[in-house]
Amino acid sequence: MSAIAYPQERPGLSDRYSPSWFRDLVRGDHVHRDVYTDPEIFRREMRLLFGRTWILVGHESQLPDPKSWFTARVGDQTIIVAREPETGRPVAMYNRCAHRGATVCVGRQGQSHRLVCPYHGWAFDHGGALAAVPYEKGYPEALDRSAYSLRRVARLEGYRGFLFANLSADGPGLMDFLGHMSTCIDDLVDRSPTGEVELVGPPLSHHYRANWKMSFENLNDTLHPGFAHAASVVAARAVESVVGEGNLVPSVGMMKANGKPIGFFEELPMVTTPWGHSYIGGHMGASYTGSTQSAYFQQLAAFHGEEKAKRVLAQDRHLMLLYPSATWHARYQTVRLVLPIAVDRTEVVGFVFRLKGAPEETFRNALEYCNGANSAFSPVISDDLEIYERCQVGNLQGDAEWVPMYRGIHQRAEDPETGRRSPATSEEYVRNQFAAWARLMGEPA
Amino acid sequence: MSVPVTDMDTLHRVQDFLYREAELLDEQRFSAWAELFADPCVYWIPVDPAVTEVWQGMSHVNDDRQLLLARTHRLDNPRVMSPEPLPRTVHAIANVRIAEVAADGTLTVKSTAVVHEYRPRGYGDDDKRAFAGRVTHRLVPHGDGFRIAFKRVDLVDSEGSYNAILVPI
Ligand code: FES
Ligand SMILES: [Fe+2]
Repeated sequence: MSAIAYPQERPGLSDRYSPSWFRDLVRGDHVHRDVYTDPEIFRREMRLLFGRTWILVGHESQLPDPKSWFTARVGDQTIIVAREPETGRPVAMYNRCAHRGATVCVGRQGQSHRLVCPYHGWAFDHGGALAAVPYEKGYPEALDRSAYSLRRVARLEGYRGFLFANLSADGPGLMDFLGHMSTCIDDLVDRSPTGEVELVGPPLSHHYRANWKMSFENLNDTLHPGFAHAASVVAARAVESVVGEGNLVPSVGMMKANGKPIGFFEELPMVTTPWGHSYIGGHMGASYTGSTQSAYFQQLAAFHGEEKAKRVLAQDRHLMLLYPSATWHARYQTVRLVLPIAVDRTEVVGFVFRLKGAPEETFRNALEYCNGANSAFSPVISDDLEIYERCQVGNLQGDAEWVPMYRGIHQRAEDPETGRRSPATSEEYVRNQFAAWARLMGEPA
Repeated sequence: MSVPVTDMDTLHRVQDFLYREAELLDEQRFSAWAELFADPCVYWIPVDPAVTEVWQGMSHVNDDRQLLLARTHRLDNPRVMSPEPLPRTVHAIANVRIAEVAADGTLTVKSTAVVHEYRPRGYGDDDKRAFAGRVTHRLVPHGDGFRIAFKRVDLVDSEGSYNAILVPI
């Protein structure tokens, strides 16, 4: 194997912010640190990355009846998702009144007969059409109402209830974009003994003062837990010494699992797929898998057949990353949206789903993981947030401009079924994210 | 159950207990703070103010005894990474009132907590923060004092998003 050299030159000094300059920021084994800190790069990401890929915005269960709507973010845009009156199909509109531009829907979700702008009362139906204008006689009779609809987002499509928006009419369809990752959505939905899942309650959100890519680069990183989360591993072991081996509650057991040796993680698979997506094999063990005697298993077997029910419960994928918008954990029905707020500020919104018809323990099991994985109070997550912020600040120091990402570059193998396989200790998922990043950012704007 | 009207002696003992709880947090004696809790116990900060049971929805904190011990053990560990250096806090407790007295002597106590936090890190813009919440304690008699069987904090912005929080509220 030839030596990996530290890049000596700065990228494309001649024309900063040209398409080729963006492509030059990614070297395959190194990435230029400006990708985390330059506001101009962030602005371009909003248009070319978040504006041209499929972004997870929510779930159909957020629209239980024709009056329902919810808001979501796609990059730096706020959208409204509601059911079009004629068809009942979910559609997405920009959250901007067609009159003077006021935000129409405020809050996470709501129910209303019309979407009414608070400024001059223009009222839109749930498909965005302008339905009523107060003081109608003050407007020219020739006013063409259809020109003053809420503007539709180019594409909104669903897969098994999960809704994805794409601000661009061009580019791959949803299923091409998801590719093998659609099986990760199946992994979540197939755990329901009725085939349906339902989003529950308000989400649990945290934020950090660092770039959005930090979460994507952290969540499939199996080398950091033993270091960054060492204190909670030690704490979990201390609790175990008090309560006795095998008696840890799941939430503390998950903390302890972070302390497994590197050799254990090396044996787990990492799967990377086109467009920057990835997942790794599960390591937490403790999970509500249900014995074959359990009521849950019986329900699942009645729905899927026994063989498939066993397969569904045995599946163990940890943190599936759907670049660049979402990460999820099918076993614990937990989905997180990663919202880029500014080049150095990110919000992560955690949702939990109920498996409709399943015993209550399955939901409790999901919450147990979801709280620990999303709360800023979590003894584990608070470490990660600190790390992101240290990387953000650190990347502004000194003159070392390139970030290496070559761990495991010699350990990968092509896999015809899933894409590419590596050991879970690899940084292949980071290289894979930046390959997609460079491809999208290197396009003409 | 009855609603006490003038049991000022019990009220004073309850106030003193809550102030001592706050003091332990402000003095960063986290394991000593955990010792104030009964076994079993619940320390809970829900997201949705409308929920009445811990397993109805997501929570910022939903600690049972084990998780509480793990949380405080971590904070007391000098090797701990993210709280370094540990934030300093002032917990101001007010509006203390005994809402209910159960037949077995368990007190339901309402109060408000305003917490000022300072995190000496040398950079950034949320190193000084304030949290405010309405607090419900269920206190069980224990020797001369009490143990906390249940503590729920309803933050005014419970549905908001937070950056890392180390010191319990
Ligand atoms: S801005 Fe919406 S009605 Fe005028
Ligand atoms: Fe982590």
